[in-house]
Amino acid sequence: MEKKELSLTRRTFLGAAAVAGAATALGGVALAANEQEAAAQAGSDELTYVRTTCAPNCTGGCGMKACVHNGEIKSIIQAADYEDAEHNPRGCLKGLSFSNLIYGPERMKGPLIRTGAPGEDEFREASWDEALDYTSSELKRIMDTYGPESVAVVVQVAGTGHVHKGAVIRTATLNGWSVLGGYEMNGDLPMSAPITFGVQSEELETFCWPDAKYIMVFGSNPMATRIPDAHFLVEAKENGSKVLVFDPNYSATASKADEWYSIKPSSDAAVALGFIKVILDEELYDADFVRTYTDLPLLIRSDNGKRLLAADVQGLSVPAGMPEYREAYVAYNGSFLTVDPQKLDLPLDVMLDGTVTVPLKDGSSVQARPAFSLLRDMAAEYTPEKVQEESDMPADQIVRIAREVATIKPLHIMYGASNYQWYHGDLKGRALSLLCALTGNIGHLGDGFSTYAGQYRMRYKGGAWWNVPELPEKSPAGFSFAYMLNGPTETMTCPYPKHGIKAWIIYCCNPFDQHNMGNILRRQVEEGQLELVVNLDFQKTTTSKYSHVCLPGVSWYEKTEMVSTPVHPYVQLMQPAIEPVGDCKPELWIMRELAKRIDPSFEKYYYPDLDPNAAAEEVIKLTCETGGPELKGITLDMLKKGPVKLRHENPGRKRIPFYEQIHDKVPFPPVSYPSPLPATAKFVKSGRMEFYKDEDMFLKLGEALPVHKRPYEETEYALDPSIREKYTFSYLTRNSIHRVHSTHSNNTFMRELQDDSAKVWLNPDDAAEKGIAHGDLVEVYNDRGRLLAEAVLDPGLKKKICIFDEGWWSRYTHGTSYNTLIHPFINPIHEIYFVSQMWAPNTSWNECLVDVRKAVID
Amino acid sequence: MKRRYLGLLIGLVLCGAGLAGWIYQIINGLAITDMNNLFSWGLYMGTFEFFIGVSSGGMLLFSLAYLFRVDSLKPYAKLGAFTAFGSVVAAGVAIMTDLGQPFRVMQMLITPNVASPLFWDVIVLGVYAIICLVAVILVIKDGKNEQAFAAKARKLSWVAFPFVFIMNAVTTLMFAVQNSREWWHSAILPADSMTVGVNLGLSFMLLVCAITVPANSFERDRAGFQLMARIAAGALLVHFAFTALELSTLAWNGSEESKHLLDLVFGTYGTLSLFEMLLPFLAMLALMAKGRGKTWYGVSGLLVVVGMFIHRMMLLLPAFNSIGLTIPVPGAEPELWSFPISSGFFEEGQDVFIRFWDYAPTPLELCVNLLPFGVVIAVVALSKILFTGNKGSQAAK
Amino acid sequence: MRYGMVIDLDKCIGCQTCAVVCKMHNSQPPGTWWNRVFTQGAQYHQTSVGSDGVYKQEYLPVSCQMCDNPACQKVCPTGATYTNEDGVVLVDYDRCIGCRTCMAACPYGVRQFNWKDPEPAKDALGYDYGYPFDATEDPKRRVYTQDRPAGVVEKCTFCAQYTQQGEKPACVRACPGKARIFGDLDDPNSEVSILLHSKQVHRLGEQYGTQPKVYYISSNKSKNIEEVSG
Repeated sequence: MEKKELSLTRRTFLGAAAVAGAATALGGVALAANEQEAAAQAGSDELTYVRTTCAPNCTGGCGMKACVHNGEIKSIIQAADYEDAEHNPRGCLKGLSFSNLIYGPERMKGPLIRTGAPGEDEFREASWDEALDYTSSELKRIMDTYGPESVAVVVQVAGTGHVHKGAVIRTATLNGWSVLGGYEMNGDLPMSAPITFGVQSEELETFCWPDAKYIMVFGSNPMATRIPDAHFLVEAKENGSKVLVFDPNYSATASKADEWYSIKPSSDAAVALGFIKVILDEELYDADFVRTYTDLPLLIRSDNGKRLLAADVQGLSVPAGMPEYREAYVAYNGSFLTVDPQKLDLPLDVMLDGTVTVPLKDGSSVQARPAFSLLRDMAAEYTPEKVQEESDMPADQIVRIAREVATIKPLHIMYGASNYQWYHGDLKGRALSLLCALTGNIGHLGDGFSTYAGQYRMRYKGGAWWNVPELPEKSPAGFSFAYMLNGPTETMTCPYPKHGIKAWIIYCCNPFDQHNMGNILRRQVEEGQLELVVNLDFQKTTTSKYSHVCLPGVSWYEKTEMVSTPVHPYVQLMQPAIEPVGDCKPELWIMRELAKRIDPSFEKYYYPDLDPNAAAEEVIKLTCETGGPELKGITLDMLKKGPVKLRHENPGRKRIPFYEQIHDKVPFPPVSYPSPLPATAKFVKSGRMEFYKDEDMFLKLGEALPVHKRPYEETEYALDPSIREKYTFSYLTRNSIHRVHSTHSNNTFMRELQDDSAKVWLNPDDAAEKGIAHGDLVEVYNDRGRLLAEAVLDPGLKKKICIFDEGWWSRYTHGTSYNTLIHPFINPIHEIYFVSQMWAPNTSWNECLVDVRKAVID
Repeated sequence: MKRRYLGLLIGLVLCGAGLAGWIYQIINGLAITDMNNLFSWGLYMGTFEFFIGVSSGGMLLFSLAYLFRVDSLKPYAKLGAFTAFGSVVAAGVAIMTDLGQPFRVMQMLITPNVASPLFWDVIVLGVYAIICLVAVILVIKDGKNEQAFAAKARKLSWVAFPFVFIMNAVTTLMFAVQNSREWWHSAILPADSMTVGVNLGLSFMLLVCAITVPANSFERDRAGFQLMARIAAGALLVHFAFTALELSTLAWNGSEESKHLLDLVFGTYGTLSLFEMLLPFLAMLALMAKGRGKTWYGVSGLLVVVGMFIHRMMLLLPAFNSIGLTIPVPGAEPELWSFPISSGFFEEGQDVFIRFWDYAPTPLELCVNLLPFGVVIAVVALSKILFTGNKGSQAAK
Repeated sequence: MRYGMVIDLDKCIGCQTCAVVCKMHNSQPPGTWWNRVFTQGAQYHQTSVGSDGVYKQEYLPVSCQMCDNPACQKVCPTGATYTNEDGVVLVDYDRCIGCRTCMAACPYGVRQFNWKDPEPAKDALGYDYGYPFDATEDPKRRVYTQDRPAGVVEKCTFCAQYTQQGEKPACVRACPGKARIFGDLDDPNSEVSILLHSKQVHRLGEQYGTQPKVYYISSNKSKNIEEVSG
């Protein structure tokens, strides 16, 4: 399950080559007709096919060919031109009917300025000059009154639109605005990844799925959410791989699996620890792997729970030249050893179990035990019987599966967003990562722990365009959406704008449906906290209706753009198949016009002499030249011929995550673009995979090791103890095959396929208890909000679960909003560091309790 | 004077309304009806089948009277010819209103598909319509010269009599050959259709005669009424026998599909089934009674006519709601799962894919359907004006 | 040449992409779907069938089965529905009189009627989608046109407009699961023929004797805890 996601930069990127924009002219925007578009307009007996990239927030990045006749798209089909033919054809039902959105009734035709109340569809048409002048003067007013950081931008999944999304980031950089990390806003940030591996996330490209022999899927439904990649899972089975699905509810993916286990919501950590206990008890772990690559041999002080520092131990010293983001710890193999964080070379006889007394430099001594030993103690609790009680996972199956996990290689664990969009999502991810690490299943073809929520990650350096290398002092402010909703917290490390966010520029997302938690966003507009909302969407969405001004952008069939996605790692172009519909404009143009109105000196940073498509090409050339090793040798001309695969270091056609760490023993973490290594390396100071965390907050909350914690205890029940009795249904918002989040809500083909109504899924027994029949209109409610939708009874649903297929625009749920039910909880673990979209508060959509009743329409 | 033209007036008004509706339908498409891709034949097709049956009565009378020289029927034979002609035209009109492309209808003769039962239906129907037309012409030309008329009518009856049965059989043959519809796929259907032709046709004649025949001539020609009534009753008995055979075969089959079908017939459409059986059954008993007045016969005839109209609609209602592509899915509820059909319509908030359609004709559809009824009424009324009118005035003297 | 199709249900993920691409490329108006995909036995697509921990979701795509003994063609009074020399059952849009006998005859519910003029119905979407040129066959049979006349019956043509140009049908090209294989059943070396000989296949509605040229592969395995632990 995914929400909107985004990967964008903070001003932390280093060493970008300064390539000056062709900044000669002032004013005067030339909009030369694009030759391709001209060709597309050719005679009426001619068809033109234009290759572009379908790049919504799924984020599949599928190459598509538009069939154009008389300047209008008639049909779309997959380009099926990937070098690795296994990927062909990439595309799904939504992408193939995307033209319904390009031309549909909600398509924006030109700028709009609001005349009515927020949420009402009352606007007046405006010229671009008027709309841009209005927007820029409002922005200037707000910046002058509240400071530039009170203006926020959000672009969602920068990787799916490097040029135009980059233009928005560049504008934020020039002005010092706040950038909201879509990735965490969506709940897509798998916090277990920075905690354990020091990376934003890592995952196998789907092409590797058939290489695994044992595949465990926790809370992921790729058959519905990764339609273009799903065949790889089927092929894995054909290859003889075993596929196990752990999900409270029977799913399309479960239907293709060998085994399915209906575990309790958010009990995955208990299940993983159940397996881990068996593996430890039966000594089935890969001890050499554990000693070489993990922090488990490091000694932990028994007095304070902290890792023992080499600097504190008699006779040990810190390695020379150790960077400040590293720390040297201690291991024991008869004598105490300094563990050099820049190397992965511990002797294979270091102690994993036991207790030692350590002489300290201050003359005292302290008892210490390897983290592994503590893990063994902790895991001892997770007997098959206890795990069954916690998770409903059958006890006898736990032992069998644990033995298989330990012996069948490669093991691949898929960890879906529906699993980490919980308050304790990080613990679950950490426990499952540990399963891979204990069995040596990391860093080889087909193995690993994959966090699948969008293909958000930046795979090369983008700073040359997103930032302004000529003006290194300029940078955007990082900010986190959670605080925009919650206000500041005591434990936060993220800077908080003095007046909060007063203006919001929204591009490529629909937060007033998608992120309207507890109705807070709507209230912020209605009550005037948000004084200006600017929407750059090409359609009129719910968010448009809450915006003060709409500056309509264009779709991926109307502009030049550069797209990259990690899960099928190609760089691809969007190319204009048609002229922009109506008076819509590519976003780079909008940003150029806006920036120059804020400060005329900014115009030169946006290729003012070039039309938006030509300017986009310049940005692509710049990025190819400065993007680093992943883009090495890739040129615009190559991209015009077709998709080009990103470069990777390991041999073979497929990129292997952590290959350098495991094969070449380069310390963890690998770099996570766009952050420089020091920014993220501090997450794993030992240079190893870390399963024992000794930052104070981990110790305070008892989460030094990945334990299992029940859902709702620290959230819903803490908020209001009466909820325990009042609201007993777990409310899960999953993805449907018919929408990409809120995109395609209004696609008529999709509406036809869904009987034109939003649905709520219930177990038939629960429904019977509530007197609800299939097709009844039901109300899902709690103290925060309500949702109206039609009941679908699904016996494969676990009892006391209520599912809503997220994304529906409000108007399809009788004006209700499904996210109003959810509270924006912040886990203090996520506040220990703040690196935007790397270590930051993550939205936990699924941590929500509700009740259900038959609806009475008022 | 006014009363004399009342029937014609009603007929023409109905025709006018129906025609206007049809023109509207031609402009806007069959979307104005309640039909869709699941329920693709409705009132128009039911009306067509109904009038085929109705039309049989007149020609049956005609040929019984002259071929078998049943004198008691002769007083009604001429009216029979007109009624048969009017009804067969009505049937033709009804089927025309059901066509998506009525102006292309000649395509059936330009590029015929001789394998199609529909093609043969059209041929048989055409021949039958010509027979009826010839009968009508005979009546008009030679009607006053009974002897000459009888000779020619007898010759015509040699063809007319078998065609009454052939037409009824062939018209339902296009249903019976379709093995994807269990409700239709039975050799007994065309056979039963012949019995329906007889009982419905004669009942309709009883109704028409009861309305149009003056009381004095009823007393004089009561024997004809009685004979018609008895034949109709006999045909009803056979119809019930066939229906019983059909249903018991279906019940004995015991498959999920058959169960589903029976559930539709006796559950979903239970009320209609009840009236389909009950009305003709009561009529059958009534028709066997002796020495009753013409209202008795007229009402009994009406019961059969209504019952058989329902019967014709019931040919369609369960058939279309039992979808051909069903898949038994153990564990599913119900176990027999029908593959949803795309209706052809998408309206805001409505299901596109359906597995059942509770068909109910729209007002516009009902309006178009006035056309065939108007045709029959107009033709019958016209015949009364042309012929019995003189008699009536004579009687008045 | 006899065109046929094999659909591997083991590979079908029920995504309905084939249905959508069919609708778009063949310009089907709102409410019309030549190709439908649903979950067998389920009230709503992609819900589970079963009880007590034993469930399944088996998807089934259905479009014209291209029968060798087509019920629709036999009942068509005008010869508008015919089988071309490649074994493809087609409708001549200039010859169809809209009697809908074929719809009553088809056991698969694949035939769709133009209850109204499709062009204005599509206008509501803001543009007229679908392949914009006619496809005709000798002698003068119009088997594809972007806007079919009101009052005629239409259905899957194996994408006549594309197969005429040597392209495969849109559903085959678009299937993300690669579950659809298209080719010549008369050619023993074609992919379809090889699959027919090497896999367990079945056809829909065999009891109707229609002899479809669309075949389904299904190992029909049901996954459940009992079976595994049993």
